[in-house]
Amino acid sequence: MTDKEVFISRLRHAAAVRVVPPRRALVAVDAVPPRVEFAIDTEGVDVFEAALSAVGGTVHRAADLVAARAVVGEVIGTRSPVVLGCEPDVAALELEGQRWPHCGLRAAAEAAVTVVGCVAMVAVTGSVVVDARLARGRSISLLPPVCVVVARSSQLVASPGDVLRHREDFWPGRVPSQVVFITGPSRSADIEMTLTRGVHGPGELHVVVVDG
Amino acid sequence: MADPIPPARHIGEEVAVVTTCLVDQLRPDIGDTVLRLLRGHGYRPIRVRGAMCCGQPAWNTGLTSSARRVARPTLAAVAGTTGPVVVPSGSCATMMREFWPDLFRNTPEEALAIAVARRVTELSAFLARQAVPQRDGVGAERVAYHDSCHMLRELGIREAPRRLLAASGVDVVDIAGAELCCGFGGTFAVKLPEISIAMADEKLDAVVAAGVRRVVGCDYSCLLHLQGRAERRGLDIETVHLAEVLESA
Amino acid sequence: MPDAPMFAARAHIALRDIRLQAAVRNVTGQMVDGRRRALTDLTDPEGVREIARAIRYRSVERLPDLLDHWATNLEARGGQVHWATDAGEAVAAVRGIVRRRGARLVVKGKSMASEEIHLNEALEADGVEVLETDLGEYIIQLAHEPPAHIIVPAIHKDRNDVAALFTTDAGRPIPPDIPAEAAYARARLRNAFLTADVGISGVNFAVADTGSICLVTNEGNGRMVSSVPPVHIAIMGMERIVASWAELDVMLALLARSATGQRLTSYTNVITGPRQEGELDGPEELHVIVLDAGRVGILGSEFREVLDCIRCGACLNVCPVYRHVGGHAYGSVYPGPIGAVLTPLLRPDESESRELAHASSLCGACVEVCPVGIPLVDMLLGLRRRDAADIGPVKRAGFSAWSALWSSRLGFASTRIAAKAVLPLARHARGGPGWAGAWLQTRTLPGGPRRRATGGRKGRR
Repeated sequence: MTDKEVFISRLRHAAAVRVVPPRRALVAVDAVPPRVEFAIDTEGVDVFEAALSAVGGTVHRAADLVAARAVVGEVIGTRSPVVLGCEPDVAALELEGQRWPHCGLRAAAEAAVTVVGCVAMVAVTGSVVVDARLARGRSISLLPPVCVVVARSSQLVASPGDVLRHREDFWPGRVPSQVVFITGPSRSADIEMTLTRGVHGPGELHVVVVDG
Repeated sequence: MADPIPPARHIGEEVAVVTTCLVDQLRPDIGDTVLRLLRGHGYRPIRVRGAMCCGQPAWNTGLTSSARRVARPTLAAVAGTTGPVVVPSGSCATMMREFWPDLFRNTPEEALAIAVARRVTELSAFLARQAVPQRDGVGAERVAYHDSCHMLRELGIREAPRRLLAASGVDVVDIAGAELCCGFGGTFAVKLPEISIAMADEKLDAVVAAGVRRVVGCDYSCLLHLQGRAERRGLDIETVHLAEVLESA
Repeated sequence: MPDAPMFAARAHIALRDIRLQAAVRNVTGQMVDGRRRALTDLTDPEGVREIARAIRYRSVERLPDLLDHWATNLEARGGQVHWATDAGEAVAAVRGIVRRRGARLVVKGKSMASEEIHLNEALEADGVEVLETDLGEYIIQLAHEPPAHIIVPAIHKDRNDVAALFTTDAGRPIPPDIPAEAAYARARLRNAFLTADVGISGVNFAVADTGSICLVTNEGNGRMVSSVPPVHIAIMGMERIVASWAELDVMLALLARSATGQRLTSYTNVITGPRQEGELDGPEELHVIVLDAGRVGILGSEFREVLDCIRCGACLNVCPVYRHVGGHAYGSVYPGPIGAVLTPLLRPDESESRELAHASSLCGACVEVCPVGIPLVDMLLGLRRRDAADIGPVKRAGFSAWSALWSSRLGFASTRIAAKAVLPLARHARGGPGWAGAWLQTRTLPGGPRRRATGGRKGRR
């Protein structure tokens, strides 16, 4: 195996070779590149709902925690077993089910539905952002066939850049070991470009947006 | 995106015309038609004596010295003229305008190539400098227009030929895959002929599907290829150069 | 005369495969439409492309510093970085990890870089079971075929092909019904995810500021292989890096839109180290194999911009050649326009690879859609010029003779006169010597000037 210093120094030699500048001049870009501007609506839970629905997710609205509890209950229906994430927003709903991480990985693997919290919702893409620190793991939003994400409307941001360019606000200090932008259910179009859902990740993604 | 139209000049000006090698070799009548067309627009067109080939086939094959050898006399001939250089071919206009400076870099002709390149304009872009009257297409013949690749992507000329055709009284129909390459691609046509033909067939099938008989283009190379294939397949399709349509309107 | 005999031979087969033709046309058509629609989200898509181009260009310019910075940050978070000069070192690194862990089962997410280094074969030779988990990759793994497209590897397989493959794999009938096939794959691979010893993925972008790697997937297998098994190995082409999360934002705004027309894929996953304290799951070990394997040569050449590529596949989808022959005709891990440039550069000693620079009509559609503005046509010309230096005198003779003839007015006139004499007789011939013969096999030539147009039907000689 090559030593790091040898590898990097070989690159330095190569990168130092004077090459013909591009035929078409490059545009000047600051160290922090300009924000991506959107021509479509980027504000409001309605935009989030439209974007997520367009990719096969389902958004439910709840005026308060009581309503949210009821909505989540409806989504869960008779499905069992249920595994609940450890996020405060989930705890606040006082649902019945096994509790992650206490229940262990196997329980998450065998769950019919899991309920988790999130870090943010992104309106223009219909994404929810989860991370392995808040969730105390990676699999709970990945393994079940159905995943319910509980979010507060105040967690809504307009675009992915509102999270990515504000990393320090969301995660002061060190960034978690994993951050995921979840944008709808798992999907594949690998066979005849025909869409199927739930090939590996959850085939159903529900986001319950609680006002406040 | 707006077509890059050169600044307006007065009618009656002398323009140098390079009729291009494929036209000169196979369809010299198209060259004559271009001259008549320009005269009809009030210009004084001069066919450049000694202009032969721009060198593109060799350039596209990577044979730079062969390309220079062929292009050098053409460059010298054009350099002996003044005023706009009008070229009735998107690919040849591209070669001369965009690539002659590269072709002649670090040679004695470099400065000349740069000066000449600046003067080169493709025919439809040149004609469209004048106001093009709008005409409605009622009762007009339906034709398809084929965007040749260099025209469209290197020169950015898309609207000028369509406007000119509409003004001449034909109804330009959009065919499926209008922007797809026809498969000529210079030596590609004879080096990878099967793929070249498959691409031509896709174009021709789209023309047939649109119920159109004539295909108009600004590059004789594409027209040669599509016509040859259509004829071999027994299709009732005729390819015509833009100049032929405009001149007979 | 430079040409592409192996490509032509494979293209010949592909052009006769009606199903392949239909499949490729359907898929690429959908993705072209999707891209066009998705870019209308942006106020100034061309402007964002220019910014993305500048970002990637400077990333490659600063590659040594960025990689150094990135590795330091990842190591501080407990990740391990392996520097592989060539495929052999990369494979050795993976084999070493696998051996040390006593791993028997490896699950793989899609990684073009891992295909470059033929990783699967090496692990299988060690007696390790390697399962591709991307649905398309799993299908072609069962078929023992290479991928036919960067994004949709099984583009050439229809539901019947898949049913046959899955039936053999399952030992019971799997019907040619897409939901049933997907359900089979999910069940089959889920068990593998949960029991695998090692997960292997690619890397879409490394992010230097935090020592992160970003994986972009739709199925969830990218998350699976990087979350469930106790070891995660990521294979990364050394040029796949940006400096910051803000730069990542720009790249992500274009990647999925350019590839499939999505705003974002289902999972955009930024990983910064193995499992941390307080996390119940996640890999104990995170290894990133940084792969050179010919890239350093490109870095020091006029073709440096090809390293800007973000592997979106947009160029494949608009390429008229690719649309007609599909991916296998290129005989390379990387097909289409990017493959025609990258393959000769990564494998300059193979004539089969070098000839791909000629597998193009130079139409420029690829340049129009590339989100990072790689001048692919200029590069194809540059590769042809490089090749031309190697052609022997016999092959050169054709163009030399032509350029000698056509550099004089007499020579130019002589061919015109000859054509005028010969063509009326020969134009309907169905073959002949040289270029004229290659033309005449499938096309006629003009017989001479047409009668002047009077509008309406024209006579033809």
